[in-house]
Order: sequence, then C-alpha cells, then structure tokens
Amino acid sequence: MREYILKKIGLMFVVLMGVYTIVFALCVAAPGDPARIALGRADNPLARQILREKWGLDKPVIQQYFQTLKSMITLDFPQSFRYRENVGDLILSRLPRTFFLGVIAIGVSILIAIPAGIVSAYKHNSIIDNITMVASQIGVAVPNFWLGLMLIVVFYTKLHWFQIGAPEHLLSLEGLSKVALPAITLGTGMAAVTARLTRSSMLEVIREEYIMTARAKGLSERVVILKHAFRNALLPVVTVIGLQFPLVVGGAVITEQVFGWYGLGQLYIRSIAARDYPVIVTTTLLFTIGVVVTNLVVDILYTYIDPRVKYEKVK
Amino acid sequence: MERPVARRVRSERDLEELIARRKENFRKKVKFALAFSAIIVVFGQVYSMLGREGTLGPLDMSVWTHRIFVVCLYVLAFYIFLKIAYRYFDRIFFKYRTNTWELTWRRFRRNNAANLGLLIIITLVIVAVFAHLLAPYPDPSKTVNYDPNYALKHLEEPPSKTHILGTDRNGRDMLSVLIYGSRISLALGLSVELTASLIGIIFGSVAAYYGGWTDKLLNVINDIVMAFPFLLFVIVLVSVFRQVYFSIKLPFTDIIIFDSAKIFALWNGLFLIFVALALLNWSGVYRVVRSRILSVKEMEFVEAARAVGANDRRIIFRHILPNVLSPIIVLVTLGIASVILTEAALSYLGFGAAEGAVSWGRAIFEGREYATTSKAFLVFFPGIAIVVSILGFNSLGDGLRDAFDPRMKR
Amino acid sequence: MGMPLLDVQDLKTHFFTEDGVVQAVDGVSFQLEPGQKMGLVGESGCGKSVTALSIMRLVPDPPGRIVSGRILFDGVDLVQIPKEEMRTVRGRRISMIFQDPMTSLNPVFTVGYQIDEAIQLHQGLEREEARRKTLEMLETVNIANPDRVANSYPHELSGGMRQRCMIAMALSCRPKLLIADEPTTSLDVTIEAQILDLIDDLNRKLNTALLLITHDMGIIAEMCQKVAVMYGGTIVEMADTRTLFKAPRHPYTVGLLRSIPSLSVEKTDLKIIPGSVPDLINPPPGCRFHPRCEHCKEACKRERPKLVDVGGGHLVACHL
Repeated sequence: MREYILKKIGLMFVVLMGVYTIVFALCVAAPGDPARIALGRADNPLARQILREKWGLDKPVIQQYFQTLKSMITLDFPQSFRYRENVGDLILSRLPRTFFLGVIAIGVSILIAIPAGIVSAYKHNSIIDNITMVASQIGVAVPNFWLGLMLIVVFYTKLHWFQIGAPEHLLSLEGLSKVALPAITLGTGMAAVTARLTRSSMLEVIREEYIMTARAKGLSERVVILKHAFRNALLPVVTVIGLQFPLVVGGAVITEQVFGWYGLGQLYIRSIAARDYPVIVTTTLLFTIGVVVTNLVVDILYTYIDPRVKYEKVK
Repeated sequence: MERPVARRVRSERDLEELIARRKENFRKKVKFALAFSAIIVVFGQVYSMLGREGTLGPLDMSVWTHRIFVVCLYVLAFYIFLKIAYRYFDRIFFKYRTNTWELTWRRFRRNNAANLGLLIIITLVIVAVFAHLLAPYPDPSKTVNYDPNYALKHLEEPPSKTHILGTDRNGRDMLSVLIYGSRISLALGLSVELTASLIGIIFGSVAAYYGGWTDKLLNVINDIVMAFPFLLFVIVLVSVFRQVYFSIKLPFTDIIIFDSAKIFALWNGLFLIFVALALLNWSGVYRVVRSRILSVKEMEFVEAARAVGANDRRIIFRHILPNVLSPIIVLVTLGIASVILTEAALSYLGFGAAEGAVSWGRAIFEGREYATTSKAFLVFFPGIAIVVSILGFNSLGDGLRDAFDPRMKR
Repeated sequence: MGMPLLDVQDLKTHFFTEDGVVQAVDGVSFQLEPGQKMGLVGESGCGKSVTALSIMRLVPDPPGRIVSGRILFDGVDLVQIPKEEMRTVRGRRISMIFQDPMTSLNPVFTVGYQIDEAIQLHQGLEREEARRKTLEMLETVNIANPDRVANSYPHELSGGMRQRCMIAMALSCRPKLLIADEPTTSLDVTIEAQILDLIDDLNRKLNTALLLITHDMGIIAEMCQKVAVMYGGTIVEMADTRTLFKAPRHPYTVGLLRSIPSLSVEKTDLKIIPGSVPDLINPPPGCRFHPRCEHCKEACKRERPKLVDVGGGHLVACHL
C-alpha cells in the first residue's frame, strides 16, 4: 500500500514536470511582450529593457526554466509583472475566495444530488425519478455561464433575492448572499452528473443478493437502503466526484468571470491577457496539483470504503 | 418469418395482456409529453421574466402561442414520420435476417428520449445544411450582406414582427444568427470529435498492442493531457496566431507554406479551437480502445480463433473492431455535445470565435453586458439554442449507450 | 401433534411483467411440523425459490405479488399481517439462507458486524453483548477462530466458512424455521458434506424446522424427513422421504429418480425426461407435465389434477 502511494506520488511529479514544461514553452512561444503591455502608453525601448532585466526575461530560456523551477520548489516566489505583489501573496489573497466558492458549490451539489439519486433509485420510474432524470439532463446541457447570466437576470435583477460581487468578509451575511448564485451555477453541472450516477449505482446495488439477505434479517427498509446499499453504491460515485474536480476548476474560472468574484480564476484570466508569466505558471501548477492530489485522495479513500480494494502486488 | 413485434394472440388472456401493455406504453408517452410541455412552460416563464419592464417590445401573446403551436406541430409530424421510417427500416434490414443488432435496434426504438434526441439532431442538421433557405435574412457572417444603414437603425431590437427573435449588437437578425451558427457548432463538433477519435484509436491500439514501455509512455502522456489546464492552452494558442503575423517559407524559395494570418482567418479563428480541442479530447476514446483491446487479447476466444487458424488481421476485424466501435460511437456523440459547450465557454471568455463570426457562444459573448438590464434576450436565445442541441446530443448518446449495452433492467 | 408450525394453503404468486403474467407459484399447499425437516425439490424454474420468498414475503414487489392463498405460521397468516410485523418475523422467527455466500454477504462490512446487526436488531443488546453472542454462534457452527473470522470481510474467507457464517447469522436469534435455498450448490462436495452435517446438527440441537430447497435428490435423501416435488409452479407429489424414493407415483418423480446416475448399477445410458420446462406465462392446459409424460391421456390434457392421498399421507397430483 505504501509502495502504491509512493509510486503515485512519483507519477504525480512526472505529470507536474510535464505540465510545467509545456506551460513554460507556451509562455515562451506566446507573442506579446509583458513589458510592453505593462508599460502601456509609457512604452519606450529603454523602459522595456529595464523591465525585462528586472523580471529576468533577458536571460537565456533554459536558465529561466530552471530558475523558475527552483523558485517554485523553494517557495520563494517572484514578483508578479502586473501587480506589485509577490506571486505567493497574490495567490494567497485570492485563494480563500475561490476555495470558499468551490467548497460551497461542491458541498451543496452533493447534499442535493446524492439524496435525490437515492430516492430516485428507490422509487424507480416514479414521478420523482422522472423529475430527477429530466432535471439532471437539463443540468448537464445548460452552459455554465449562461445559467449564471440567467440566474442573475431572474434572481438579482428582477427578484432582488441575492447580491452579486465579491464580498469583503466571506463568512458574513453579505458573503453568503453573494456566494449563493455563483455556487448554484458552479454546482449544477456536478450535481446533475452525481445524481444520475448515484441513481444508476444504487439501482445496480439494490439488485444484489446481499440486499435480499439484509431484508431477510428483518432490517427496516431505511437501514437496508441507507446503510447496506448506499455504502456499496458509493464507490463509483466517489471516483466520479474526483474526476469532476478539474471540470469544477475550469467552471470556477468562468463563473468567477461572470459574477465578478475576485478569486483565483479571474486572476488567471487577467494574467493570461497580460502575459504575467509568474502568475500564469504558478497558478497553472497550483491547479494541476489540486487535480492530481484530489485523484490521489480519492484512490486512498477507496481503500477505506471498499475493503476489497488493495493496492498490493498480486503475487 | 414473423415480425418480432407482433405476437400471436393465443388466448383471451393474451389479449388482456396486450391491452395492458399498450396502455402502459401510452402512459409512458403521455408522461413524456407532459415533461416536454413542462419544460417549455418553464422556459417560457423565464423568458417572460426577462422583459416584464422595459423594452422587450410588444409581447404579443397571440404571436407567441402561434409560434409554439407551430413548433409542437412540427415535433408531432416528425414523430409520425419517424414511426413510419422505422417501420420501413425494420422491414428492410430485419425481415429476413435476425442478428444481434436487432435487439439493439429494438431497444433504441423504444427509448423515447433517444428518439427526441434524434429528432433534435436531424433538425439541427437540416437547419445547418439548408441554412440559406431557412433563414429569414441573409448570412450574417458575410459582410457583403450587410446593409449598414438598416443595421444601424435596428441595433439590439427586441423581438418583433419583422425580427422574430430580435437583433443583436451589430444589427443582425438573431434568428439568422442562430441558424447560421448551427453550422459552426455542428461542423466544429463533428470535426473535433472525429479527429480526436482517430488520435485516440491510433494511440489506444498501439498502446494495447505493443504493451510494455510504449504503453507506459502513452499512459503518462494521457495523464498529462487529462490534467492539463485546457483553457491556458487554447488561450495561448489563440493569442499566438492572432497577434503575430508570421509565415514559414520553404527554404530557398518564396513559397509560403504556413501563413499565420490565413490560419487564423480559417473559420474566423475556430480552426485554432479545433486544433486545441482535438489535441486534448482524445483521452476518453484512448482509454476505451485500449481497455477493450487489452481485454479481448486476454479473452479465450482469441485463443480459440487462433487454434482454428485465424490470422491477426481477421481477429482484429472480426472480433476486436465490433467490440470497440459501439462505445466509440457513444463517446463521439456525447463528445460533440461537450465540444459545443466548450466552444461556447471559450467564446464567452473572448477566446473563441473572432469578431464577426457567427457562433452561438460568440452571440452570448456579445450580449453579456446586457444580462443585468432589460436586454437580456440577447443572451437568452443563443443559450436556448445551445441547451436544446446539447440535450439532443446527450439524449441520443445515452440512448445509444443503453441500446448497445443495457445494464439496467427496467 | 397439534398445530403445524407452517401451513401453506393454496399459495399463488404471480409476476406481472412486460411480456405477460408469469405464474411462478400456482396453488402450492403443504404443512411443516415444528422441528421437521422438509425438502422442496424440482428443476430450475419450477417455482421452489419463489415459494420460499413468498413465505418470507420477500418477493420483489414491482413485478411480483402474492395473489392469493394463506401462509399460517404459528397460527398467524403471514400474507395479511402489516409490514412492520413481518419484519419482526424475519430473522427472528423465520430465517433464510441463500445459495451463494459470496454474494449474499455484504462485502463492505465485516462478517461479525453483520451478525451483530441481526442480534442487536432482534434482541436489543449492546454492541459488546451482541459481539459475545456472535462469537458464541460462530463457535457453534464449528469455526475455529471465531474472533479472527468475525473481524474479517467476506472476501477474505473461504466458501465453506462463508456459508457457515451465513448459517450462524440466520440462526443467531433462534428462529423456529430455517429456509435454506440451495445452500450447497456453489460449494464443492467435501465442504457440502460438512455444511449439511452442520445444518442437521443444528436442527437437532435447536429444534429448528428446516425447509430445504434443492435440485439435488441426493441431498434430499440424506437430510429430509418429508419431500415435496414441484413442477411448473405446483406440487406434483409429496410424501415422506422413504416412501417417495421407494415408491414414487407421479411420472415426473419417477423420471427424476431414474435420471440419477448410479455408481452401483452397470453402465447404461443416462435416462432423461424428454422436453423442457413449461413456459410459465402460458402454461400448458390441464396437467402441467402432460407434454412430457409417457402415460399422457386425454384427461391429462384437459383438467389439472388435484393432490390426492394415495395412502399414509402420500399425496400425488395425477390422473393415473
């Protein structure tokens, strides 16, 4: 088991290096001079030269590659081109917002989707089942950002139920009312997929023999379904939630754009437009780390949920 | 041979059961129709919320009910047409032969949602191919068709009698934009998926066939591709070709073989999206192909076939390919839906179709500032187009998947 | 002898499917005394498992339903009582074990936990108390390290051990009736013998009645005092074991017994019963067996025979 984790971590590093290299290559290849963009109207060759030197852009590419790599590893982040701050500080100031949004979105979607899936599976082909199925179909088909815009129109412009923008303090009434719509937008896609998957997984599990045994023992339906069936149905659901994570990250980027939520996603897009290389590279790596770590966590979680899963060498 | 659907009624009990079954089917169809109308009502509600105050224009209810009625009639007509077409199809293909595909076909026929998906997609294809005949106004992407005076007078008009869905920011008719936009969505979706599948098939078969280091290498590449921040790649790609004009000449000559301006101009910038999406979307197909080939390799019937003397090529074509084809078809159908979504998302961020291009995502992009105002219809209609087409592709894809590999008993 | 423990009267269980109504159990009646061991034998698809499920009221309700009949257990009609009451019966007064112990035990819980659960449910004990009883029970079924086994997952145990655990779980609350649906079909022969011995032993020790469902006549001969032969959803012959084996009356039973290959007799061709199992959606009219019966007469084609006593409690359903 430990071997497995180590191997996975090793793989993780390979992937990260691969991503880093590609990102770096893209930044190098991409035209557009960050210095020129940063200077704007004050642009002149001398100023540009000074800036480039300051940012280390005049050194040979290979050297930049390793230098940036080193600074990542030692966590000694360079300064952002566009903002005056340290990349590290910059990210840290934005991360909580994105994290908050993500957690609420994922949390709410799981809280709604999984019970919906269970109930639909139990009352197969009933009205609730049909409604859930249709709702999840629509949930998947609706484009993220469009849903956000429509929600803004209906719930903010017309009904004034919620607010929009980036809140000062996250855990306040203001914060909650501002996070509601973005969270719904972000969570819908994932909720739809999770609901459908939970339903189909539960349907399969309910037909297994051991459910019959559990009933034969005299257990109440509730216990049979929620304890015996659900634990077994959970496995593929957990996997898929893990797989959804990169999509959620991508969705967060777009959602933040729609709602003006000053988080990591927005930072990312602006940095790309401004060729803010340090931020681009660091944030990309951060996202990738998030994705890979989530996968690893899901794998490990698997062994706790399903005792049949063992990552040992089969002799 | 008896037609498989009709059964001999052997006793009066049989007759009762037949009636019971017909009733059940009818109930299913009624439920379906109710769901359909419920969705329409909900969307209608949202739509009416968009412009209660302000300039949604004369919300002439009679006009709208008339239009919805026409749409319903169209759907009904299509269903009847489909039933007849199915019956002919059945007669041609399955009257004299029964094979395993017949069961698949029957399952597909029964699936109401899949049929709806088929309806939507066929409509989409018809609209895309015959766009020039169907759109009330000429092709919005060709500037030749612009009458600047007219356009300037009709900027951002709400739906009215002359422009059924209003006009957009450039004064172009929204309905025509949507109709011509379907071309881009379909073309992009299809080409991306086919290319990505090709890549996936090639990589997958190579990995499964050779195994060992090749397999490991390809798996690592696959992991990187899956973990890759897609957005970044596309954005940089787009920026490269947009802002820099460079060309690659054949050495010693003046022949230009690679001209960035031309590349960018292809499809108004969508060519780049095509490349990016195709390069990053092959993971699904790769994994399926690889796992199927691997499992077939292990399976005993390969040994059996070899024992009888079949050579490699025969094994591949007769045994592996049919196994692999069905999930790929499903993945491609679902993939087209995801491509349409991604293109819309990219356009929304500004990195998709270029200025002047006619695409649904681009239309949302151009209308996005107005979402909080009363001109929300600029955003509403393209979105509906996207939602409907994706629903269609998803339903069809799910229906195909259930038909090929039914695991759920009813 | 008094009132029988289990009295099934004209049970009919039908499945309402898309393709028609499957008459899985169509008029089954029998009785079982306390402590008695009875076998229910027949080919696959003859309705024996469904009968057992009907007694437990475990028939999956969307397609299936007990259409008519009474099932009197200790005087109470199980078909009529409300669901909550039935739940107290299951596991506590009637228990059931199934064919494949690998799929009958929940793979994500330890075996001990699953047995604890049954005990806690019906006897209301605390976790440690229940665990003690579980270990006791595991010892009773001849498991050597009850502690280790209790903390293992089903996939970590061998087939025989799993089936023992199933038996332990079923008998943990001392039910009066144990229904065993092909308990040894998925085990190999040596283990089968051990399990059968165990069941026999427990039946004597705990005075639990046994309804053994199987398609293997050998097991019936070894284990049961009374036998009912089922075909096409009905009982065609019922008698005590000795009598049935010595003097079978129904042609189907005769055919079954004849088709058992015997090691002692000289080599002959295997005798089979020609034809195949009837379609239960459209069963043949009259006697269900008549298309395959050597002695079929006109009456057999028209009228369904009733069970008739041909002497000493030996019941046969045949026109001959």
